[in-house]
Amino acid sequence: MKFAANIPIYLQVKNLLIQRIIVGTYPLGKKIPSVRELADELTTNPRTIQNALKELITAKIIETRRGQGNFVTTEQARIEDLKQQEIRVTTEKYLLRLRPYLSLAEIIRILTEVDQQQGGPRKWKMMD
Amino acid sequence: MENDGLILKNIFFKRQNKPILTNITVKIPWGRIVALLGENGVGKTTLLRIICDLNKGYHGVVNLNGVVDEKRKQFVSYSDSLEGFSKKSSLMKIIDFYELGYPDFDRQRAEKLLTFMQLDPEQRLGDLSKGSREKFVITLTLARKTKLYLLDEPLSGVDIFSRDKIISSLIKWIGPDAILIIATHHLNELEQIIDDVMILKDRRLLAYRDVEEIRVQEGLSVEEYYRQLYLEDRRQ
Repeated sequence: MKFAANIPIYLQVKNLLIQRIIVGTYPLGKKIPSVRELADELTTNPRTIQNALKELITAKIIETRRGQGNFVTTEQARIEDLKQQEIRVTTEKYLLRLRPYLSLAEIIRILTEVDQQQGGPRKWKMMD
Repeated sequence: MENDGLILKNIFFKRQNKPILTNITVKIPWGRIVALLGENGVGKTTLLRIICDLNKGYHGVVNLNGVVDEKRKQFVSYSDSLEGFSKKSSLMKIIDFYELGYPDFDRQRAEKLLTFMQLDPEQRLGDLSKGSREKFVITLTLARKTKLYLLDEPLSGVDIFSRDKIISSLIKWIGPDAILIIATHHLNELEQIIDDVMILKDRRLLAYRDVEEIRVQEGLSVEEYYRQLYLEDRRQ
């Protein structure tokens, strides 16, 4: 994966892992790939992966089980928090770009239209 | 004696009475992947050759894992230009030769690397493209299980697909505690796999820094930082 070169890579890896947890690529309470596997997959330095994981462990989103590896938290509420935060940040960013010249009604109309053009809920692998 | 990685202390080197490197002092901890940067002719290759004891006659101390004399050579895997081999030798023959020459050469790893690099062991050295030849050099260098790996321009003149293979191999095959130093002009491609940069300019060490720290503190990519630092230094 190609990361932006001027933003700390560990932060970008951290956000990517959060995204995967929210989407369910890494399900609740399940083991995530090892540092080596992630470094391999994302073509980054293992130390960078470790730094990203360290932050997720501190935030209790991921837990380390001795000798077994890293696991997604078993607490649904934590993931729900992450999800809400992600929704908020993404929506705010989106509105910040469009709201200066579009009404809310227009934005909703365009959103619905584009979603349908893209194939609607079937295209997005998540639930709808 | 300190033995926590590679330590260079006050390295000076002259060639025909002309100073090439002056007062290089740096400490590289175990497990780091380091890009060695600097203009053509600044002494990157010279420094690599000093580290692995191919360039004699330097002043200062090179300390690798506590070993300061020429015995350190055995712990260093330095990319070979393969000029000593006949064009007619097959890759397998060269691997056989390496296996005999280096006790830390891991045959299994070499064979896995060959497959990973999509190289045919029956091929002759002389028939390899530039990209494949470089992939083969990396295969031989990384197949040794050792403490320190030195690569000199592994990406120059190499097509993008071979480059991707080489870059992934660097993180896939090196032990977590080994040090890897890559002298390169292809910083952009290596941005996300390196830990540190080491910048040479005008015979001296201009900077040694953790790349994530550069991104956090300066908000710059390593390439931008490198360019800025070089230009600033020129103005002074």
